[in-house]
Amino acid sequence: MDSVVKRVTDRIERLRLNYVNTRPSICCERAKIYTDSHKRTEGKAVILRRAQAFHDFCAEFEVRIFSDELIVGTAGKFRRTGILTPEYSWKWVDREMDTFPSRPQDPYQITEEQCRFVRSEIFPYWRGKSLEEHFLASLPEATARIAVDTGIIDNDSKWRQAVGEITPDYEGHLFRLGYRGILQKAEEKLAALDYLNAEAIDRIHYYQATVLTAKGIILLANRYADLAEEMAAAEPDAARAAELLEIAQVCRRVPEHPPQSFHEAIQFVWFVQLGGIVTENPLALNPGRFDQYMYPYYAADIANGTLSREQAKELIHALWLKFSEWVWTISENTTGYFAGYNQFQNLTVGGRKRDGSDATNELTYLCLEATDEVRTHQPGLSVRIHSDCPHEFLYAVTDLVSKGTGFPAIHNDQAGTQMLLQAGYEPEDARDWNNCGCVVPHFRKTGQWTSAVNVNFAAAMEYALNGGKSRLTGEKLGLPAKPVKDYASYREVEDAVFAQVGNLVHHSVISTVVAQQLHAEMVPRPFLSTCIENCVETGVDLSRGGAKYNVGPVLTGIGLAVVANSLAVIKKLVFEDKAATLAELDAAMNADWEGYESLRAKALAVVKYGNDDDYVDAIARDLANTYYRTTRSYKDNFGSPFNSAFMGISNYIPTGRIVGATPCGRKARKPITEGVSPYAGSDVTSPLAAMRSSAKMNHDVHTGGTLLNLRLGEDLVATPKGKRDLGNVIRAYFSLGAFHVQFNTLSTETLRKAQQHPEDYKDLLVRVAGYSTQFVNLSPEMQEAIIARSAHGTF
Amino acid sequence: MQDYSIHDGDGVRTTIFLAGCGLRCRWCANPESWTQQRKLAFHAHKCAACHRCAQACREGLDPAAKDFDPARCTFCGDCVAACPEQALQLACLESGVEAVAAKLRRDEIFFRHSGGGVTFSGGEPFVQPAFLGQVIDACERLGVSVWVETCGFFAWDACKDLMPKIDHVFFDIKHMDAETHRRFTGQGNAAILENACRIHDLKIPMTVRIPLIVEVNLDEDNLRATAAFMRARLEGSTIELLPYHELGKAKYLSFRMAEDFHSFSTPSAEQMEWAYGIFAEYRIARHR
Ligand code: SF4
Ligand code: SF4
Repeated sequence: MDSVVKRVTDRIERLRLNYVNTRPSICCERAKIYTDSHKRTEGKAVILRRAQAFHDFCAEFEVRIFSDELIVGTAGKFRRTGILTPEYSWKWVDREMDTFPSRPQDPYQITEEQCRFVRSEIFPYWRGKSLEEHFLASLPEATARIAVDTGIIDNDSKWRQAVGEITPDYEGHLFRLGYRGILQKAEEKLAALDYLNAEAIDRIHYYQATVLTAKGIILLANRYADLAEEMAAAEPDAARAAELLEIAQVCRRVPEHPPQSFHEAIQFVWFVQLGGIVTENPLALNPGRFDQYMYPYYAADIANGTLSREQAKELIHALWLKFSEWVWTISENTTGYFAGYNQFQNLTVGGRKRDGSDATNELTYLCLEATDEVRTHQPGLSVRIHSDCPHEFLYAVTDLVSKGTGFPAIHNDQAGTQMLLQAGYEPEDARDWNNCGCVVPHFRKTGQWTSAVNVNFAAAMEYALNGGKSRLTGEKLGLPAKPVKDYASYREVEDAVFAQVGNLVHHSVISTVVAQQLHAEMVPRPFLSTCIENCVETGVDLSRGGAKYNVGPVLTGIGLAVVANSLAVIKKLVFEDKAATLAELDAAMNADWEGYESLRAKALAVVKYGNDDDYVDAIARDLANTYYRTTRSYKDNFGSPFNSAFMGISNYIPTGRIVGATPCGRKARKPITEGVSPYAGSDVTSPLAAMRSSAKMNHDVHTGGTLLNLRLGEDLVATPKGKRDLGNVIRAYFSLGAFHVQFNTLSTETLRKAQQHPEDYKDLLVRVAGYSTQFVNLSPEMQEAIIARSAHGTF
Repeated sequence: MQDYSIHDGDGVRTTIFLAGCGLRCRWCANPESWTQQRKLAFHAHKCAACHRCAQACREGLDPAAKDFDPARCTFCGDCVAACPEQALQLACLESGVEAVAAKLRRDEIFFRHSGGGVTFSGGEPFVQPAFLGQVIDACERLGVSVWVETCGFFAWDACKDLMPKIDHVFFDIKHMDAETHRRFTGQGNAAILENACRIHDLKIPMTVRIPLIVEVNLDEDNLRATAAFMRARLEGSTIELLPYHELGKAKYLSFRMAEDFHSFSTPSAEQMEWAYGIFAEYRIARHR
């Protein structure tokens, strides 16, 4: 595997440079077409209005094919384009768009003229009509105080944005029927339905919407085919003209019909992705198990000689670039949680098949190679490692780790299956899992909010230790709590912290079900519902529980390590060693440790989570288990229990900003911790100890996923032996039941250089948390946080 | 103890450093392990000159001062705990067999999956045969493989009973010429070469390691003499050449041993290959 010749074609290199060097631009076309369409459809059922608007987009949008493209289709005028979806929210855009080009994290290009246009032509129509406005008007005051742009509990991606979080079902559904087949099915169903009761009417509307949607996407593809033919006729370069004709042929065929070649299947995938983007601007629209559903097309084309391995790779490169070019348009607040132009399109390779046998194939390797070669930040590449997976595969994985891109996210196949069984999946489906977003085990017949709320554990602890109030603002935000000096035992402190976490869970649930209800009423999902077989079979939209599996929303706990570390300090220094009183600790935290340096040194000296010491790891485990039991005790609008998770995203930075100093020695406003990872810099023993600490959490119950992020010294993976050893370390870690691990192998030196000379490091990918993105695209604060993660070397 | 070491034998290993060594190699990268005495390291580059350490010291010492007197230090660690910059560090602390075994028990899952185990290094592990024996017995109980890295300078009789429990030995041969050896390490090489032969005669797999240093042993005569000796007396053993590096310099400074530091030159990649080529002529394989 070491001898893989690194090569991308000149075409791909040009596309790649364009992607690396172009700042994303906002395109207002989609917003304009959708708004005009909605003006024409007032009074109709919402799902029909949304389907009609999509159809209008497909008919009216000025399609473009850019130079060098093999895979075509953009959601806006630009290659790197973001779109506006005012039906979800527009107020934050109104507030923030003037600073889109200048904001520190994820800036977008937008002209003053565009700003004027949307303010006069688009937003006025949506005033009082957007999901955001309805949500804010519906949320009970007690919940709103801690749930709206606070960093305490955060679900703004569920009311300022669409949900996303879907894995289209290619294998069993889309590639089998094509949109012609879906259209026919909808028409047949319609023929058998009558307007006899509310349920039937809903289904009629659903199928009418499906007909419009299917016709729309077919029309869009054919308009690309028309354009390609026109361009071919005018193209002086014969080779490019031939390519354009091939593009035309492909777009005539897919997604209307089942694909017949690898190229068609790839273009099909991109059209589906495009449909999802145009309708929802979604987070986490996952390509899923690409190496599985694409393999039959690859194998057939290779066998009949119409495709070479290199040609297949070029198409994959082109698709990877497509995944990376569009941007998920989000607010500045949301960028704090999902930094780096990330769209969370997760693509999973390897693992087991539905029957339990090994699933790796040639495409599995091609995907790993492609990710190394084009160095795009998307798709989020995940691998499933099972105990009998081929050595070559594991080696290819650790070889990619050694390249320092942060890819792939490495998952324990068995743990993922166990999580889905736990969530109620049938065994064959449970074995067929893919990742959603960053690290949520998921399946293509599922409707689920896989990243519903971020719950700030450190804030909860602060309320317990500060009389129910924020230490930074003095606001009463938690449950009432007694003065900290009155706690008489460690147990009392712990119970108080857990109770505050429970209260945040309670409000997270409220915030989620209110949003869920509004989604079903206001923003049904006619396009993405076509991607889920059971919706098409039953005539029920995704937002109303049409999928085969409706799994409960995921609440992500943030700051597990900070809270465990802090409780350990209280237990040890206050109640065991009597080296400090709670009043002293309280005073030190109020002073942000200023003047309390020796107390802080003592606090820092208490053993921290991540060093394989049960003293503190057991506290983390208790907290995680309690959190699991609490979340599971609530049910969502479909009757499904909520799920716990410890995943990442970049949420540990904004959530830290609102929390004062913590007993673990952390200073006010500093980042807290992600997933089941140790506090940055405190896992001083070794990556092995950090893994053992993390594995003590019961990963299998946290069905929303768990995340461990580690930095490795480059030298540990510099040799073939080092790569093999890392593979075996991963196997050992997974044998303990852990679910995920991901490595950054960049040296601090390299990252510092990138900070000083960003222009030379534009394509430097780093692992943020659960995903990778360009280091230079992160704000200075995020960059420092990445560097602060302790690098584990051998010296 | 250092876990996740991958350069000291098969798989993922935990390296246990035992202090004390009878040689004084001028290029040594671990001078703190020459003696078994406890030591207090001072990393001057981290120090913020805040004097907290001096305030914390019950003996009235200032660990950050140039004239710090280790003879009066009790190694209580108070200053280490008081330092906010992690500029102070205790070294060569005794640890009990139980503590070592507990650590190995935790690392065992990684040994099992990678075919790794424990590597004893130093200093010179064989200068503490009693303790070494106890830890090796613990490894045996845990089913953990044992490799030892030795400079060869130790008393055979005290160690010979341990030998059959060892799975592999890294044996340092610094120079074949006794006089040169004495000049750079303080001791001749006769006892060392004899110990190598004895270990080999017990059929313990062996890798000869040479720290390759331009000014000391990177000459054809010496390399040929080493290879010939291996061919004649250490049949089947493999060779590993380790290029000299200067990473130990920081330690000389931290342990206030600057006057003992000597600078040498690092061989180039070509010189390394050339040296391996000589061993290949004698049909001596490289360590895997
Ligand atoms: S270890 Fe103890 S005795 Fe020695 S310098 Fe530090 S505080 Fe003083
Ligand atoms: S306490 Fe640490 S930083 Fe302060 S003077 Fe002593 S060694 Fe230097």
